[in-house]
Amino acid sequence: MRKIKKQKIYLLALLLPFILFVIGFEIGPLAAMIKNSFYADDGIQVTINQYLTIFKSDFYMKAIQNSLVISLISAVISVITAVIAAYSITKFSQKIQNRLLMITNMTSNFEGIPLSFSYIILLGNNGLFTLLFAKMGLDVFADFNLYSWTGLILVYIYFQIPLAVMLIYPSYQGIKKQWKEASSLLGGSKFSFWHRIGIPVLLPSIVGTFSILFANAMGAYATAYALVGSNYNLLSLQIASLVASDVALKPQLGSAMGVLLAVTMIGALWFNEQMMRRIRRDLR
Amino acid sequence: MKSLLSFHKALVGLLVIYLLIPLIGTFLFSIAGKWDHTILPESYTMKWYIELFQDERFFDAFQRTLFLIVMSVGLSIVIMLPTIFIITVYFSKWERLLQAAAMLPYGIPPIVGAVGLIKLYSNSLIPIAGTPWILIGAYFITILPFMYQGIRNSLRTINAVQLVDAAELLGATKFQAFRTVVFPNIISGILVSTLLSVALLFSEFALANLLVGGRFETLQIFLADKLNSSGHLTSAIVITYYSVILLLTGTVLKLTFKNEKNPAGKKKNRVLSLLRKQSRDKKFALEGENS
Amino acid sequence: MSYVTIDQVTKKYENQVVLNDISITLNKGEFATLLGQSGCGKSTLLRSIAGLEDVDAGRILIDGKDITNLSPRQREVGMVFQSYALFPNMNVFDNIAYGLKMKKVKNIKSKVAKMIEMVDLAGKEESYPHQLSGGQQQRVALARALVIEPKVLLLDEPLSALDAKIRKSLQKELKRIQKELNITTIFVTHDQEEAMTMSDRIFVMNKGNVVQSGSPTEIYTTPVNTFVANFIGNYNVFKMDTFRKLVRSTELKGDEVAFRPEVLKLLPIGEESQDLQENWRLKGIIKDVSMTGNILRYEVESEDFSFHVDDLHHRGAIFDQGTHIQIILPKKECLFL
Repeated sequence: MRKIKKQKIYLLALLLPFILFVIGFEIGPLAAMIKNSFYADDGIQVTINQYLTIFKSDFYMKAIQNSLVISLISAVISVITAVIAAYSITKFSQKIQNRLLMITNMTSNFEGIPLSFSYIILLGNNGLFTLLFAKMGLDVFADFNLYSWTGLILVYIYFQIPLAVMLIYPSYQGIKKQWKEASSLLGGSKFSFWHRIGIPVLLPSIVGTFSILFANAMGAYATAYALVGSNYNLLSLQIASLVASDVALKPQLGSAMGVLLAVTMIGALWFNEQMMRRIRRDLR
Repeated sequence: MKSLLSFHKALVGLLVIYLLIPLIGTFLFSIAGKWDHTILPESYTMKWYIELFQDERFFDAFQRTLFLIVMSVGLSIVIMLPTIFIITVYFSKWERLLQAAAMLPYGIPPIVGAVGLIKLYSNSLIPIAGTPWILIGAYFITILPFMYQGIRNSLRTINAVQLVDAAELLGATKFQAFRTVVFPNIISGILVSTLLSVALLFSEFALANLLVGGRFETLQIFLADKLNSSGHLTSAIVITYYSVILLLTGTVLKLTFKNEKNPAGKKKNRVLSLLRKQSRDKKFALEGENS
Repeated sequence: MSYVTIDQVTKKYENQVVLNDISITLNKGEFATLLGQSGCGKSTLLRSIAGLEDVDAGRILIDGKDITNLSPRQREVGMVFQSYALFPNMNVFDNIAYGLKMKKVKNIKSKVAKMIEMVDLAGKEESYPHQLSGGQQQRVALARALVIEPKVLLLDEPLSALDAKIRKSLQKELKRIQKELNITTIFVTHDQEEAMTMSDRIFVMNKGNVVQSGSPTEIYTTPVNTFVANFIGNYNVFKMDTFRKLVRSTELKGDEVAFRPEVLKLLPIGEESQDLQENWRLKGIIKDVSMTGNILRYEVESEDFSFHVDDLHHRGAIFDQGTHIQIILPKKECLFL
């Protein structure tokens, strides 16, 4: 007995590095941020003023609003595109399906700084398409400005779509062919199958994917940073400039905004988890 | 029916074009000599790549990125392997706790992580603020969910606990059991999550920029800095960078296919499981605990 | 002189008693079976003997040596797991040789070869586990456990993952090897038929206790309580007061009565033959009949009581559903518990 106990202590010691890393780089920073968000700018006085400042400030509320709007719009458009595209993909042969998924998979890795750069050379002020269209006399892009929120949404959608397709595609596999057959044997039309069976089965996965995309866009930093620098008022860009810019450091305020962002993200992911529970329950 | 299929074809075709245009555009730009007013470049050249590969700053940045990746991924394997093994085998009541700690980074965007890290290590007794070391720590946490899932699933797949039991009954010590029957059987499983982690860290910008920035110029920071200089040169960097990523993910895909072909593995939809492993980072939440 | 002694072993998980003060002794060369439903503690007991579980109280001795606190590798026991637990990175030869290598034994090659011969796997030395069938994997697992010449062989439901035919042949083979090596064996199963065929002695377990031990015949013909009766042979079990009404007798003692379905005889109405001194005769009706190969299983109802009757499948002698019949129950086959 004693021998076994001694061995356990030895094993516990092997867990120490992990515990240190988790405390030092995961729990510690989170706790520090939460704590810091309840201090005044001087770092001494305990207060909830930082949160009040955010909610009273038109500027910061606008940042939150912009982030929410961009995330919502890009998520909605991407999910709708993906629902249709993934369905179309299932219509091809298995081999082509695999190829297509590989392409989505590969392009899903194209994001952040390189992606923004690509868009700049294609659609930026001196972008290839911009110049080409101008030369061809097409006005479609005359009003278009990549460095604005329409530009941001365009780029966000680009990196959201492959992800959305990869997340939604598997749930089409969950719709069994027999269901369709059973439905038509029972006298259902194609429309009534999708209306009564298909969509309800897909719904949790669609909603779940939506919340992941939403969270993904809320937390995105590199893409926006590369595209609009600090010229555009976004939550993630504001947080960055409050804690790590050369001017006007306000770490306490930044912490409070960080907490708000984290809460939003965790809320979205929690929501997704609830949806997935439902899927699993339904399918088993 | 036929018209429907052509509708699907057109739709998927559009999607593929849409997804590939930025990549193709960037690639053409990186090998274009003169390209102003035509659809395709007027002349081609390799000079941007030659220029890039003669740029010491590029190589330095590349090396720094490699250093960060090797350190953090290496540390992760060395630390996580015994940790997950010990907890699953000997302290199974702590499994939920381990899982929570390992999965938490999914919910924390890098920008939020950076806020906390900056606060915690500014004026701290541990002087790592602004150095690559803080980045290694942060990266360790960033890839934690991948590594955790990869290792845990591998251990489960081979039923590691029972293998160790069997080995011990045959006279092996715990360490021998781990080395001879656990480790050789999970290498391929770990390889996949390792490569995914490497790819993820290759594209990491937020933490690098906020925690160290120009003091330790990584590939991504170098790229961000070059954004406003020569477009052709930057295209060459993007394409080079993306080739590395493709190589990594391509290897992952190959490995995954190979594992699927293994008759020991269960017959599952190949594509499904491939996707599952491939997009594990963002997909975790969709997959849930997978327990 | 007992070879394996389990002395008042107790184990608890949190507040649940998994092994309740269990004492068992086995002789050298005996084939003993721990039989019970899942969760009865049989596997836990086996794993405690292997050293894969700690016990909270009691001692375990093998060949006179107290092994209670030894680690698994020092216990000199061999074990075969339900899912085989073969090492997937090693071929058949290396799997079997593993224990010998760990113990740094000489003549590994010839010992392994002999073992491979014994379990009839010659020619498969280079195969990897995933290339073998379930039955073959099981043989490798057995060879791997036996090659280190353990003092006791532990088998944890080793056949339950196999299909019926392979299972039957492996049962025989396992028994042959066990006799050949005269190795003390503890076998865990939930399958009473398997236990009956293989064992010298059966320990029936329930809720952490050994409820009955004895030879297969003893266990089958004289179960000590209704749990064993139900578990072992599909006994018909009745509360005594209902049974008294059924046979119209007031002299019977005990709380419950049990009789096996195959001791009952069914006769057409009007046929007189059985001695009423030694038998009870009841009137009933066939509610259901099903055929399992050579056995006909009737569900018979008599005065609101229903029970099973098993009969050999004689050609053409099937009572149809709804037929009124007489049921003959021999008095001496009734167990009063």
